Amino acid sequence: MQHQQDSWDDIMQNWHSKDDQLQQQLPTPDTLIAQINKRNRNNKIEVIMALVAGVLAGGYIVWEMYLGLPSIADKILYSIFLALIVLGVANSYVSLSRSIVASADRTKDHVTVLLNQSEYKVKELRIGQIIMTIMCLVILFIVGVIAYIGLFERPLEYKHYLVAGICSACSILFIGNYIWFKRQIKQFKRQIHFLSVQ
Amino acid sequence: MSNYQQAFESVVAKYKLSLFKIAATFEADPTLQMDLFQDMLLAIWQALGKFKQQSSLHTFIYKVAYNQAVSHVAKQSRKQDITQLHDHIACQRSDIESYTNTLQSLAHITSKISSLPIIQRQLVVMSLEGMSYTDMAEITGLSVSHVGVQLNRAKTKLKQLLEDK
Repeated sequence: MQHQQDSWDDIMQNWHSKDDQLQQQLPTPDTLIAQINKRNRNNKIEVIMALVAGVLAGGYIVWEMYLGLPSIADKILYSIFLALIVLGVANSYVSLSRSIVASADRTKDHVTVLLNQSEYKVKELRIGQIIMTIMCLVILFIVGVIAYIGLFERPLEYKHYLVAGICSACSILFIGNYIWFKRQIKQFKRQIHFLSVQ
Repeated sequence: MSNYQQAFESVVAKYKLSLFKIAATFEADPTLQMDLFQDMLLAIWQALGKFKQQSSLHTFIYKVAYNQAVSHVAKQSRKQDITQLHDHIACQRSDIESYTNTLQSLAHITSKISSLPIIQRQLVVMSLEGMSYTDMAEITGLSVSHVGVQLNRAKTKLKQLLEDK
């Protein structure tokens, strides 16, 4: 028992032995506060930029959808773009606001909150995977319809090729997203495992 | 300067050393360590306005800082599994040792503390910072007797780790 106390005293002594030097090496409160203000500003700028970009892109698509009087296929495509923009903006907004929310819970509760958040995130990502699959199928259907029209009904116009090209690019994007979501699920499961063993 | 900023400045002046040491036990990479240290201060800056004096400022500051550290470790655990994480920390230790001679003895202890489970790691650091069992129980959410048990286990484990070298 005495031996353990002695060794603990040694650790304690080492822990505080360089306090004075360390205190001098760390940035001054003024510097730290300036850095924090800068990060606060950057966070706000990022949120504002994401919102402005989202509103501009969304506004343009809505304008094209309702004033440009496009075909049904174009409307479906525009709706998908609109949904993607809304999702992107909402995701960046939520992740930024979550990252700057400070928790003053007890550690045990905080770990439980993190655990619940991770489990919720896994569910969200699984739903995202389903949405990506549906979107990919819809887009491939549009490509199929265009190909069918081109092969069996009438010659295709320039805009049909454009839509088919965009759709094909989108399907690659959705497949990429699906794989990324799968990777994210794996990472969150790892986090759940890590938090569960604590 | 506003009162809020003044209050924050006094918190930074008083706690920056302890907060830096907490960051050092939760993150081995020197760059990420400074990021975590800043994240802790940022979290305290944002949380200070919500402080309602239900607990002491002391425990409030540590709760926010530890929660930020736990979130950081959890986030890091997503990138690699726990064994790889420990290997990574062990490998990054040499960077810290060359980082500054001042930290050499501290780096050795933090490397050993960082291999303990989160709650034990937290209890050891709080104990080294001279906190009472009641404060530790308030911050972690464990009962006072459980704090004693866990801290004792952590000390024994830490002693073994330091003896292994």
